Amino acid sequence: MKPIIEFKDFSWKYKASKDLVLKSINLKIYRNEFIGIMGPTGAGKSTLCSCMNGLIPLRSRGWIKGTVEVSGMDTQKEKMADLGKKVGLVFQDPEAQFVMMTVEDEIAIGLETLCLNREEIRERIDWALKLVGLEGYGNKAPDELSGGQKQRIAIASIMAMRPEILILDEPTSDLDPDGKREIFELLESIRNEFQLTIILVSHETKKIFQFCNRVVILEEGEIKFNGETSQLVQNEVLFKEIGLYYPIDTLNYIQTLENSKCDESQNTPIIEISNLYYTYPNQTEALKNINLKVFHNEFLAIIGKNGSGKTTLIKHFNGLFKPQKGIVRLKNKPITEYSISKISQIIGYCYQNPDHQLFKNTIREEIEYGLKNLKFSNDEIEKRHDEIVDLLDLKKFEEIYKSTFYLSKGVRQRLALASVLVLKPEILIIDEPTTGQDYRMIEEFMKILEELHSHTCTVIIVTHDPRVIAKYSKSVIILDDGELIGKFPTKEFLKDKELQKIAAYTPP
Amino acid sequence: MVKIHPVTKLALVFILSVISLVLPNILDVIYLLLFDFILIILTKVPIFSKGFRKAIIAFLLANLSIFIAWFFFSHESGNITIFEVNIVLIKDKWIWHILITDQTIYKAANISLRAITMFFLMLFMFVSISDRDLIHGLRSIKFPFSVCLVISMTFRGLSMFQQEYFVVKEAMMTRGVEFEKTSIPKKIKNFISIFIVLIILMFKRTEEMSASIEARGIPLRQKKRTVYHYYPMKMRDYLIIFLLISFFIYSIYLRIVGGSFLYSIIGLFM
Repeated sequence: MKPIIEFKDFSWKYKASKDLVLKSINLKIYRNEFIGIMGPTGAGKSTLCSCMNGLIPLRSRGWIKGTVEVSGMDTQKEKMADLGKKVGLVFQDPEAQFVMMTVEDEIAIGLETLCLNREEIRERIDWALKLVGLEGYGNKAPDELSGGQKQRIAIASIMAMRPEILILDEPTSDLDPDGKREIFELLESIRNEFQLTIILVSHETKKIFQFCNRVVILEEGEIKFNGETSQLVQNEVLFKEIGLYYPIDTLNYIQTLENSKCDESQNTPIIEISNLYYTYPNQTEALKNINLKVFHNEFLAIIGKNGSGKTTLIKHFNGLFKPQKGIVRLKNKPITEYSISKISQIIGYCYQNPDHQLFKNTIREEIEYGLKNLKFSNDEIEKRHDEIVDLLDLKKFEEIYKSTFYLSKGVRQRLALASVLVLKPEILIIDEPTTGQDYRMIEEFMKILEELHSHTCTVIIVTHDPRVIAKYSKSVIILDDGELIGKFPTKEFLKDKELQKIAAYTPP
Repeated sequence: MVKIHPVTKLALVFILSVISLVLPNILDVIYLLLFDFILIILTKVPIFSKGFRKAIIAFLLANLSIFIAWFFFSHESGNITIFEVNIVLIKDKWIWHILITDQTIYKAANISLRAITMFFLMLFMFVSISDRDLIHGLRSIKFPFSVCLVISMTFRGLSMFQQEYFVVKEAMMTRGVEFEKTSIPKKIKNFISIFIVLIILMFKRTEEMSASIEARGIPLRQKKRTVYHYYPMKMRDYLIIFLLISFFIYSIYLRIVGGSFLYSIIGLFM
């Protein structure tokens, strides 16, 4: 059988990079395969995808050796427009893929390029929306859609063009477990129905085992494994060697879990919420009658489906949102009585995307920003800077990189954490700390949080990541549609299937 | 009004704005302003809503300051002197004096009225033409696809820019940055910090969006492509544009020879 994609001794180096990003890749992909591509951050997974639809070398400058053929077309000789009709590429961030103002227009724009008439375009839009289960969403604006819906629209806009190959670069990293499952099931069904070839980049080992028939593992630009999924499932050693996540048996794991060190009966709450309600201007009731206590030195995970009110709740913890009804007390005093600067010294808050949180040009300036703003003395600033740089191992990056702009996402996230920790907060809140990161980076990051927790810091994380919940959190707070289901020890939660269902939790 | 083609609405706003600058007679500008108000009533612009009220007040205050500044810095000699005072004397010479005459008031009012006319035309545009209609309208009259795509991406970018502005501002507040209880220079410095981050994010977004377009095989220059939303211009649209262009040409004529549009029309029927 003739492969639909073939890499022949292909190497690639970006103009700005020092080393080869892909090294002598030889890979054949056949029609109707569902291929999972795995590998640590920086292994060359996204670059490999860009080579399959011509973004490399047609759009990027660099050094190239070998060839890539897609449906018999040499990617170095064909036009992007012709390759784009055969190969659809869905990116990680669905937000960045929308260029038009409504769902309908977004799907239509590609079909106009195919010179279809209005009737045909109408039919294809309806078909594509039905395919992804979003009939009737044609007139919605991107801002009105959830993360999962946006990703499904991105798939619909590609599928409407009826490509032969569908490539997805980490399409589920921002989604909750239900959203992830929906996307994988959708991919499986369209692959069977249309004999489509699907290539999926993901860190979701369990899902890849479940859905892909073949797996390619990359490490530092080289193929480390290329074979049937069944051959890989038992190969835990390879996963450990490369630093990828290997699914664990939760039931065995529960036995090793510690209970929370925090004894609630002996403690006064550091955060206390009574009868809290919050409604957004568009009348969405985000929080309904929340009553909650958070104690000193807890390690909490706030969990629930997308849109269940998790972020709205934590924004009440640090006074970013003022309670519309009810009271939020921080250290026994209403949060409304604190100034912004005082709260920032008690509660540190890390955003999901570090790009939203880094304002300065250099690592040093970034770390010192909050301290200078709060008018700390120069000696104290210097002392705290040195401490945090040592703790988070940022010294080497400070020496190499003149600007924070060139740091990798993992290091930028660590810097964002440093910029918050330097204020020595008693409570640390982190929104989705693991999104889009590989297993090794997640482990490193979570180890830092564990270290902080051992130094009596209260850690609160908002997460969908079942590994992080099971392995690190001591208690979970479950939200569902703005209501608090309860606060439970993680050990208890991991045994309760009903609670897991409400929280859209799937065991790691 | 809704049935008028979006491009006609755009032409109406653009041509009337230029005419408001060209017309020599203040009475004509006042009538144009009245026409503005009729448009605003017909299109039900919610000028008393919270958002619009703020914008209108901010604009009127800015306009008032221009009006007052005219008193201090122009020295229009007129038939009637209302107020005159010398302020700065250097080496026995008055280098700054305020002179307010009937002409000063006339010219200040003239400028303010033209600015108000243009402002209300803008309000009309924002309410009556949606971003989507505008793009569909432009594509229907065979405007280049690449320009329409850039306009669409700009609207998308603005929407994302607005969302990210709040996220970045909140992120700064979590690090103790005060935006309310602080001095004005500090506030300005803080807002500049936000905009630097937003500009970097905007570059990233633009890069991602253009990669997404290319990855979908959508070329910017393609001779043949169909249009899904086709809004043809109708006879009434051509008629409106014809009248607008005629009005514009006549305004230029009036500017050159002097005179009033309204009196010319009355003269025509007398």
